Amino acid sequence: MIETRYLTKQYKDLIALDKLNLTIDRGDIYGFIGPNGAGKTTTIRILGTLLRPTSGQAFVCGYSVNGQAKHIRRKIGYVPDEFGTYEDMTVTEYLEFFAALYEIKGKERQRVIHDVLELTDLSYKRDAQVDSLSRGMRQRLALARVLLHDPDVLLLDEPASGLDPRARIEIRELLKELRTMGKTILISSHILSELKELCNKVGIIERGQLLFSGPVEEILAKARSHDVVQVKVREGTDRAVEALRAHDLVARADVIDGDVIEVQLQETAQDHSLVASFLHERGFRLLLVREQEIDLEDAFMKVTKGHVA
Amino acid sequence: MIGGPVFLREVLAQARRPRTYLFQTVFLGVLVLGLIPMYAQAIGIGKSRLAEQARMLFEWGAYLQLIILTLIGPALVANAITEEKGKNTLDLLLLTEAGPWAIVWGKFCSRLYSLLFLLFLTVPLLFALLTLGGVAARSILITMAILGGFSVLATGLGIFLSTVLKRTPGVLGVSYAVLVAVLGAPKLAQLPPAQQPLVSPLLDLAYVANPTWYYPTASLATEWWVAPAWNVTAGLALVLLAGLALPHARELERLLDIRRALEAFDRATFLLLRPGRLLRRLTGGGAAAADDGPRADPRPIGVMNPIYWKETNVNTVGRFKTWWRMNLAMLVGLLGSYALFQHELSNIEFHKVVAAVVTGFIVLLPTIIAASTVSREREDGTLDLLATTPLDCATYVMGKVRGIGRNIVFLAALPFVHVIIWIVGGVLDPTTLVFFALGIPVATAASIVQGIFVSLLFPTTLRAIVAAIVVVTIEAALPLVCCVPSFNLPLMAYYMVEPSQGLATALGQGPQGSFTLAKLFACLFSAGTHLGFLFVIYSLIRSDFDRYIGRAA
Repeated sequence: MIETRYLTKQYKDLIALDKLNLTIDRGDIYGFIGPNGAGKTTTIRILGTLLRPTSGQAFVCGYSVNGQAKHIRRKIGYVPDEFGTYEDMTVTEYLEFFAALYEIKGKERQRVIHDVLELTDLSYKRDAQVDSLSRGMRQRLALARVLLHDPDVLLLDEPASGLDPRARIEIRELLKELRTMGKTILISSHILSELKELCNKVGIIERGQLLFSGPVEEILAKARSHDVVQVKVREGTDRAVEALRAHDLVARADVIDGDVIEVQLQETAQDHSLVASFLHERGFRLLLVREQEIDLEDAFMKVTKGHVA
Repeated sequence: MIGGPVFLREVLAQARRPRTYLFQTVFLGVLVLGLIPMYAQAIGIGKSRLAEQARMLFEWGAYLQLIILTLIGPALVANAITEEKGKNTLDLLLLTEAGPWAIVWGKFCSRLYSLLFLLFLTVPLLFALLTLGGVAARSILITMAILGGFSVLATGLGIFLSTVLKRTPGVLGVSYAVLVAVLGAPKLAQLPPAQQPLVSPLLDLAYVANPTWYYPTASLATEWWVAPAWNVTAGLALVLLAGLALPHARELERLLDIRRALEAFDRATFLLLRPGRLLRRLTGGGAAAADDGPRADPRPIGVMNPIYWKETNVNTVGRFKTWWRMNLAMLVGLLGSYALFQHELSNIEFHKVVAAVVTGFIVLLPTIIAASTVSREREDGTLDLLATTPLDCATYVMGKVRGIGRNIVFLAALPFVHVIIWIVGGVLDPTTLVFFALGIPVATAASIVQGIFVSLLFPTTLRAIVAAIVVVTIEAALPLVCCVPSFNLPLMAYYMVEPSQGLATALGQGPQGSFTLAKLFACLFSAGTHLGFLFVIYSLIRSDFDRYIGRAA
């Protein structure tokens, strides 16, 4: 549905995107993550036909952004990181205006507006002024706007940015609903915990380069490559730590959360079961043995190096 | 204080902005281009005529400097504080040890420095005139003092307005109005000639250039300093006031926000225009209808051009916008001029001036308003939303032109209304209507399209507005350079006004008849050039529409 080949964008000396190769399939919810200035917005704006790449190719729904932008515009819905408001327009008028721009006419227009307002739970605000809406409602309205012409692809640039927790949850639920409708969604966000729940694939970008792209499970597994185990013994925590540190295959052993010991194994270690057997052999009674939970934030921190273009 | 952190930051920032050098180049370029032809004329003529030519050069150079300062000054200063407020950095500055005085004074000094530097650039140019004779060094120094004083006033005024008003365009508008009033009011208010140079720097300059014949009052020779002195005093006083006002800027903004009062006025007028609704309200039966007022039934888009719908639906009387107030202000101004100049109503010169002034607004306002229309969309992020829709150039430009055109239709009709009244009153000839019909509508459309083009070219509203003013000024100055008044609609309108003689009578009067016919051809030529201009500008927009609206930049 979305494909980029060696996509490059350069502003004078600054390379914002560096030979980006990205593939997003139909129905994917693709989380695009990276530090500020990494090239997320640039990528989304190129796919949204708002920027022209310096070199390389980008395709949306099979159409190239170079020369077939008109076709792409009918297939995409773009939500920028900052919501653009028209003064003195009601919610319905705002949607009518954009529906007219998408050449949706007559009764169909009224039906579509009714449907998107229902979907985004904004029906009760249909006569409210757009500039009087809260930020969360505005974001929902922005999503309502991009759904008017039933696009195949949604390009969402930081849709949860600056929202309070309740509004974030509302947006997340709405996006889950869109996922069930079969939309292909490219979403950039800083709130990684939510992306994990929402997306089936993620891409990590830094300094214009795609460091990772693939299923969420894959990146979590990748981040888990150096096994970290947490154990708890009934008594003698300090002794257990000392013993673990002396083991050849243990890279690190520290006490966390009071009496839980976190053990990081060397790369050469086969699996983490050796920790349990080692402690058991030395007479420690184990209360807990578990793998450290890896979330997207840990994975992100491991994959990126903290550089910003 | 001049070396304070605010001043240093401002001066550094100015030095890094390309527009600083652009302003300087334009300022000096316009002066040089304006004066070189006159200088060339002076070559090869006698000594006494050479001296006279030099005096003229000096005089027009000084006027030109003053006009450019009036245009550039507010543009340089208008955003001094509003920008800090807009970026929420003013509170940060106020929380530092610097305090409001240092902030205001630093801003004032840095912006004044820019203006004075512009003046300084012209010193060699003016002193070169000494080689031709006819101009004394003292006159040049006095001119610089007058212009310097005016710069202090322009900067102080801009700083003060930027402190108490919320938006930069508002600061810009009020600044221009006040400065133009300072320059021209003494003449309009018909003060005694000897007092006019004391108030207006423009007339002070005129006096300095023509001490013997312009205002033959001996005392003025020693009173040239009055205008610059009060300019400097007023400018510094305004900075002082700005310092006092800065900690209370937000409250003052709210206090000076007359939007609510204007909206109440709109509502009242709307009710007066709909007697049925007013009656229902008075009888208590239509409270609800009156409360939702003019907003009750917005026009549905239907199959309308959506851009046109947006321009007219959110900017109409019902939506409490400025359009109809502007039209109303123009109407009140016109009727006010009838009351003010009752004794001149039968004088053809009065009607010529009225036509020139109203058409001046017809050119200036649509250009400025159109200039802010796209850049505002760009600033508030709505242009990106439009750019990702299948919107095409024709829909966008036509929607804008028709929308703005519909909103100013009353303004464009005002000269016709004026002419019809005075044709019926027996003062003007019906031919005037024909001339106006040929000249005004197409020129208005061209003004809107050129405004849109300017707006597409510039990233911010402020820059677009300033550029639009510069464009209109250049067009107005074209007759001086190439003798073609087509793009100076006020000048055209001035000559289009025909006294009540009737075309047939005029044709039978030899030279007068020829002159009338020549005017008819001039109007046709003007309409043609404006149509051509419109076509060229539209073609330019269409050729790279995607890039202009930020698509595929």
